[in-house]
Amino acid sequence: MKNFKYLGILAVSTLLLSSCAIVRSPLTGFLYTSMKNPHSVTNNAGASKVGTSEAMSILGIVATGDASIDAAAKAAGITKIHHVDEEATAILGIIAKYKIYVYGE
Amino acid sequence: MCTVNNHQKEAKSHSPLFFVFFYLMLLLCFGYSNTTKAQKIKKYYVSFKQEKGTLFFIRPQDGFKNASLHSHLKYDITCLSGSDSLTINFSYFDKTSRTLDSLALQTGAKRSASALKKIFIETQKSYWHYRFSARFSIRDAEDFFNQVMAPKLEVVDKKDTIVLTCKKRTWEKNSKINQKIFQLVRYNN
Repeated sequence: MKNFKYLGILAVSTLLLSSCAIVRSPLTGFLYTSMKNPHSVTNNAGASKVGTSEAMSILGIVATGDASIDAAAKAAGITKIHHVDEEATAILGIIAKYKIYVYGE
Repeated sequence: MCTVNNHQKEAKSHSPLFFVFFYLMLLLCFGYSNTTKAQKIKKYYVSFKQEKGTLFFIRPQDGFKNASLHSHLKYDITCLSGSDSLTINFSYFDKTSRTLDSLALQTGAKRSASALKKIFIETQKSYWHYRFSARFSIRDAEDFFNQVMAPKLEVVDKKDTIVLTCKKRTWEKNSKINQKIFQLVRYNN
């Protein structure tokens, strides 16, 4: 009986934790999320540079970082943006990461 | 009656700590399987196919440090299939204000250096954040990442040369990932 009690506590805590660190994504997984999806596209032709920026959240309590397009473009010295992708990763609602990839010249 | 008592004892032996430990082990196993296997390299790079070829971007990697200066370097690699050179963009964090001149890949037997192109210089807490770009031939980069023992990176200042080293474990992981990605680049030529 005690075992069931502990298992119940674990299940409830997992459920609660999983809803803590939420990351922007078109689809989310209860246990694990790893999604890459489009953010935006421009008319500029071709890309020879890629820049990335990221932000992170722990348990939905602390969230830090700069996942702006500006930061990603700046990191690679991109002045003409071709397109932007975003990537969301979350593990059990404990750690969530949001990354931006900027492609351009 | 005796059997029932034994079952009760077994049930009592599982303390809350056991379940917490079990839960942590599960998390660790999950984390391990998703972070340290060098064979699963998809999450370490992104690629973009275009007319000129496929553009590969190896996500930022770190590990190179200078213990005495408390400085460290984080780099990412961009290369286009069909091209014989690649770009290493790096962030070098140092407490000293410097005028960086070049970056060198030092393997012991071979030293390949590249002039730097400044992207930006900023401050981050008590550190100077130097963001620069360097170009190397794919062959030199491959030679560097094929090293079994961690090679050295040299950031050359106007006044001195800062030697950065990498821990064995970090190097083993990063070099395996990069070797496989360079293989992919070759196959996509």
